[in-house]
Amino acid sequence: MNKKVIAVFSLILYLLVSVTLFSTKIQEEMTTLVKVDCRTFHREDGSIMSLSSSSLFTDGEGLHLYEVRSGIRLQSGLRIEEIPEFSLNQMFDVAEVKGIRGYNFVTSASRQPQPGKLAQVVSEFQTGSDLWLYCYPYGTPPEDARELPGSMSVLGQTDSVLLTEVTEGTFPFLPHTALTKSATTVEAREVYSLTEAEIFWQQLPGIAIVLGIFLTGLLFWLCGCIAGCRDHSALRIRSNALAALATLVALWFALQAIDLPASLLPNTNIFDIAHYREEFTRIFDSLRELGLSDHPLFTTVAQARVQCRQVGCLFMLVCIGILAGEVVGRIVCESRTDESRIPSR
Amino acid sequence: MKQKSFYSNFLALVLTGLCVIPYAYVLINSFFSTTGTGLGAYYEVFLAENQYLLRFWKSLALSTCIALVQVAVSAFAGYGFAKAKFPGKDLLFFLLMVMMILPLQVTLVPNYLMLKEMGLLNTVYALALPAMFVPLGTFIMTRSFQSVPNEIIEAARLDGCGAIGVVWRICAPMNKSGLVCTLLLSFLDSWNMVEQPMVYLEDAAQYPLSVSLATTPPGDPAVQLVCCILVALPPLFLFANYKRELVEGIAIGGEK
Repeated sequence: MNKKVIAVFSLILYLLVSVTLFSTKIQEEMTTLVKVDCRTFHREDGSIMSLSSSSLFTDGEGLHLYEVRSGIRLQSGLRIEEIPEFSLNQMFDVAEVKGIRGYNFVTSASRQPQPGKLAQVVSEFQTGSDLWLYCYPYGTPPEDARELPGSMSVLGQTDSVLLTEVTEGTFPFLPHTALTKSATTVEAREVYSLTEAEIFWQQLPGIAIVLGIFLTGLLFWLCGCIAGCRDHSALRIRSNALAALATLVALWFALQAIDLPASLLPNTNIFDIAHYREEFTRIFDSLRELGLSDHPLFTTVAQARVQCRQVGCLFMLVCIGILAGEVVGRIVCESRTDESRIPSR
Repeated sequence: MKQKSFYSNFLALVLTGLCVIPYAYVLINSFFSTTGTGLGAYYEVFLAENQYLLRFWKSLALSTCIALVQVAVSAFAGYGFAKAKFPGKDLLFFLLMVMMILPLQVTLVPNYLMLKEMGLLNTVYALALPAMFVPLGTFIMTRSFQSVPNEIIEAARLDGCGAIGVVWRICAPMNKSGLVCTLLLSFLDSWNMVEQPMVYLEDAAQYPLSVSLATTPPGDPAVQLVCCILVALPPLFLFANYKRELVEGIAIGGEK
């Protein structure tokens, strides 16, 4: 058997196992959380189904109505589908769909629904007080024209930002629900839950740990592969392989500890750094604009940065330790081989 | 003479190029997703959702199980045909060769009816059981065990070795290439199966990666091309690592 071929493919195999663990977690995190309205038709020839226009989602291309359906084959699982044909009544407050089958209409979502993407129906929400930050592209509505529900009170306002305190905020936070609360909120382009923003930053050290564990495992496996190619002792290969497998187990548990808020994640790629930069720049700038530079979110960000640096340093030391161990192990192995070559007298 | 050599080399190069074109197409176009150029399709397959990889692992486990059982069955059956003496041996071996020549589609319906009677339809056993008893492995092992001298087997028997011991301790180690060849061919056969899952399984969620890949309409062709690369990995490894054994094993099967 060709040792180099085995080394290369075993490395691919290790990466595939790691990637399977990562993809399981990423899929869980990137699944769009939705609230649904289940409807069935009552007549054999179908019926007109009416639902509030707040169930419609807007983007640059217009209004969209979505449902969730079970996919098949490589598109298995509960998926978001767009309903292409619907009409609005004369008051534009009711959407009408000609029902020929049952529908699970999406009435709210953790992010802009995308056809074909996985969805998870959320029926039970935790409630608690929260701060919602509304960003208006064309200026905030004047104070006398503001219409807010009783559970919301304004904490601060500038030309483009409105900060509200909500006594009955829901977790997980669904921006679509927050935007369709009233005629005032519907004019905003984005809304952020500051509690979820804090939770996001609190998760960053955990992500750094996951990355560190993955790189450590990869280093162990690489060392094992190199030792295998160079005909080093089986003990070294086995110990490296065992350590790498142990890091896979640790990786699984570390991944389970991470729970990112869905409302702050990008639509398609979880590694879209530009999206995070844009979102948090907007949040931080808005808070500064409101004169809230001492908001707890800033402290959380500072703490997360320090903790990430500490985790980075720790894993760098671990990696240096592994490499040093490899060098020592190699020297010991070679000296033993040399001793065994000396003929006994 | 030199000119003849040049033309044959050129022809070989052109033919190699023609063979490589599809693989190059898969590799190059996997970077051109409908959403843009880059690693988007790789992200979709390897990171965005785990279903591709889970199907990959399921297919790998199924194919490995089928291959291992088929090697065991083929080794014992091959030993029987090669070394045992029993009435109707030649007729049975002839029937085995006839079954080997039969196209897969001929046996699909009888297998379906048998599996239905056994209540195994729509289970993973419906894929595994028929694939474990494919005659090609028995044929290769028979041919390869025929090369083992009878004297060695008789000596082993005198030393108290039973039939199982003779197969695993004497014949198998002497015919590694035959065993590896059977293992590879049966693995590849089950790894590439398409018709059997479509006939024996009703639930599309149980389909192995090969069928899912063949039956899913391409939302994004680049994603399917990356799936093709994923599907190609195990056969590529097997060929890269065992090409000598594969060639030797096939040569043994072809010897008169």
